[in-house]
Amino acid sequence: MKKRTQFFLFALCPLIPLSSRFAYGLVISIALFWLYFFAILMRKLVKPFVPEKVRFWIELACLGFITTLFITILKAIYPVLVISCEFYIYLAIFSCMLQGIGDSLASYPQTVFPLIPFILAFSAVRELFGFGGLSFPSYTGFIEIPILPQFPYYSVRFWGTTGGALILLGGICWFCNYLGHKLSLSEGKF
Amino acid sequence: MIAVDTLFFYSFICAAILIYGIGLEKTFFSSRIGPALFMRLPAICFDILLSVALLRYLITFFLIPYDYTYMIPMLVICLCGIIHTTTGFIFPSSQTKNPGELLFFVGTIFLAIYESVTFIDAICIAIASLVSYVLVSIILFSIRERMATSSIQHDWKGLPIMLVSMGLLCIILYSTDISWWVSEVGK
Repeated sequence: MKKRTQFFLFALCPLIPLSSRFAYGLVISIALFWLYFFAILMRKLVKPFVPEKVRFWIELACLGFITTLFITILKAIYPVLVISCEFYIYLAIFSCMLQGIGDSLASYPQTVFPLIPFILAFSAVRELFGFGGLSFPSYTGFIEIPILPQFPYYSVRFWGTTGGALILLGGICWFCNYLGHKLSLSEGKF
Repeated sequence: MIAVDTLFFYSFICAAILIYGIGLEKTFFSSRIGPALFMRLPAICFDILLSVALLRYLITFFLIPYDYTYMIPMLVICLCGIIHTTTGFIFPSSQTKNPGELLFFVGTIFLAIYESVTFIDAICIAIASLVSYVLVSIILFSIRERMATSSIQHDWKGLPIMLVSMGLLCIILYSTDISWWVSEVGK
């Protein structure tokens, strides 16, 4: 189970550059939901008819088509935002395949589904600490709402970078381990 | 010199593994087994370079002139599938079922196609991705070896310290941007 969590966490790594802003995080969360939904559907449709040797590529091609459809819709709603998101949304297909969503969702729904709110929360934390506000997607790009007005003066934009994100993820993992040990210790006492 | 600059940029400053996260999972799990991970590298290398060369040719001479650019992602996926399956039939030892490796393969090609302007650019980005993969794997393997003998706090062991190390590695590699080599020789 522990290895599976690591697997899921790393599957999200291609999305780290995109989670630097909440607006991007929101778009990629919707994209992931869209992909997960169709990945499960695809697995159910493709599995009985396609030989195992080429199944990976057939599923990847189908997901590619579905992602192209999603990006076309996104282009009509957020034409500016899609320029920076497009590449990462396609990469999300690969992370989706890496997680083996079709199979995993049936076996480990509790591990796969929290990834969407996690990436949303992660992007919110990064933007809040990195830029002192939150941004939301709009037709002309994104709208920034300053929440911590003094933050631009005490710049910690480091959290907005990939290096910062990886360190932050490491910190979160340590905290989870620490909490897990503390809880297991306290459970052992009683 | 532009080719050298591109090679350095995508190997270190904007390493495909760390900045784009392509193959990070593969590197993380491969770094446990050390030198054995290089056994399959020639096969991956051949597949990637062949796919990039073919795709760049098709995109430049067919998709862009006829304005079918929206078909690029689908073409990348389909052609990668065909090439990987074909080379698997010719060289059965090169066939892999490891999703991490397949995704590193497709991700690298995708990056090379998306970020490049010319054919040389695409090849340079693909080679740079492979270089960064080897480099990060070796460094992570060394970190794992040091960690095994160190008295690090239990909660930090494994994934947390590896992620922090990767973060620091990312910053260190970024510093090559201001290095003498890139600013003077890579001009």
